[in-house]
Amino acid sequence: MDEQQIYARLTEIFSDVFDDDIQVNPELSAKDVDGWDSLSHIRLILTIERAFKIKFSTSEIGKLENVGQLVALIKARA
Amino acid sequence: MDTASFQFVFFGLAVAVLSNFSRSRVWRSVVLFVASLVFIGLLTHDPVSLLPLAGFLLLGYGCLMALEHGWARLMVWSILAIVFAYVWLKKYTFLPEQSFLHFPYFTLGLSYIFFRVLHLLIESGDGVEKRHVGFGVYLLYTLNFTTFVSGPIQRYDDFVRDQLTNEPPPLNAAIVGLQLERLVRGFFKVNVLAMFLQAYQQDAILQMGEMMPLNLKLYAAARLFALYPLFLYCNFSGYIDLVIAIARLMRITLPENFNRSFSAACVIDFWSQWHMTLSSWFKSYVYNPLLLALMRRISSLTIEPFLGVFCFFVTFFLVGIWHGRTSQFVIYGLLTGLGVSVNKLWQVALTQAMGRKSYKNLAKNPAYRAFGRGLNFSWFAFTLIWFWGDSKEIHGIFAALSPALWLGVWAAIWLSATILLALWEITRAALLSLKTSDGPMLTSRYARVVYASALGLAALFFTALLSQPAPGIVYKAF
Repeated sequence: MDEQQIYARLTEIFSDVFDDDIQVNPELSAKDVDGWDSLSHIRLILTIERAFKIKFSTSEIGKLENVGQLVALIKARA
Repeated sequence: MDTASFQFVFFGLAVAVLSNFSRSRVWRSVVLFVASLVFIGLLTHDPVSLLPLAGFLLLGYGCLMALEHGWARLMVWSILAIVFAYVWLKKYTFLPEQSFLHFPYFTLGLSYIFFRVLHLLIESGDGVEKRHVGFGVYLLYTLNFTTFVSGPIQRYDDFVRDQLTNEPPPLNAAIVGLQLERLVRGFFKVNVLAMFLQAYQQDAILQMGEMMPLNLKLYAAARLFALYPLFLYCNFSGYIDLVIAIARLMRITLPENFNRSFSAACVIDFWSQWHMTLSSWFKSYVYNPLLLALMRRISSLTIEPFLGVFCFFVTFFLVGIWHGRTSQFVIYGLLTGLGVSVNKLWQVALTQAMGRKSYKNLAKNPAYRAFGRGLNFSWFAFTLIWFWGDSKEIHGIFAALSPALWLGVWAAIWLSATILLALWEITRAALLSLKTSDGPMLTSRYARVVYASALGLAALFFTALLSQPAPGIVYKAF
């Protein structure tokens, strides 16, 4: 799966989780999205795990700072 | 040396100067290692008292090696062994007295070593981080004198990034100036502000046990409640200012531990602005995995928010009980967990009742934020009674006034904190709005030099005049 496909799928997931149209880009982080709190972060992670059929580790989830890092992780796993 | 004393500052500055003789990672690591050993040696003169700490470090390294060599199945047992060794060495009162070591030994720094060791074990055990942690680097990371006494809790990767490189973070005149200013600020906070706040609070505690008119007793009650959070902030954040500045002069960037904590408009925000590295550690290694595990098993959009509330409670209950080994810290943990989880429940309920957009607008409303700020401050002040008082003291304090009067004191502190913190925010914003061509006047080089000089002189004057040793750092006891 290439980056473009990952971003396209993530755009759908973000819209679904945050119930809003969100322009997903590598710099996007929790402070840019209303409602991206610790609870919705885990909901987002779980939805991504199911969509891409991958699993993140505790340390990976703790270190994520923006969508760019998330995409790099998905790319390495998917 | 375990306080924010002149000796500690001069020791740190001397190590920083030595460390900068070469940028080589070997030189800087040797200096840091020797300085950390000297630092510990100055804290205890009995080598035998260090044996339990050495044993704890060896146990941690043994577990780490087992995980590094592919024994991932041992991760849970390794974590349990480290947690047990920690509560045993710290003599938590739920363990039988007879099981403890019956000789005086050194536990200073153990709590923060505990977090660093667990962090290494979890990251090695989850199989993602394929790295080898050498014994020398392990000791350097866990015994680093700048983070030994009270943190901040630095991640291993961040430590290695700055320490084990021949191109460490740059140091120039501007950066050195900022760190010296921070040293002065930290020293002033601990040795002047914290000292006076502690004296006023102690005076209020004594007055609570005396016969006096009701109005004076209510005033004493308000002071003993409200002054402790301010004292704790000055004491802890002042010490953190010192160690961050010293470390930066050694070309190590430590994480920040405070971010305008009392500006937080709710309890949840407060814990992401107060003792931030502790909250972040618990979020990474307790809240996230617990919530993820529960949500993997229970897939319901209706129940999810309540799982979040539950996980907040568990996480902050653990944050609370980590602070001490007696039953009163269980109460502190319960109150801390209760505050955060009720806050989350309130957010969930309002979002459901008003809709996300309306709630978002309400949360931005200045009056709502001001009342939230005041409520957070008064709640934190209330929970801290189980943090600073022993059981006899707590009983005496609550027996001095009726529950209704205590409620009145709390309401008065809420209202006062709401008004005073709002005024503080308005004043700060107004001062920052005064700008020169280089940016806000308040943060200009000249303003910094003036106020750092004033704080430095004041600190020298008060420490020389009062001739008192620097107050102990509260968090070194945990």
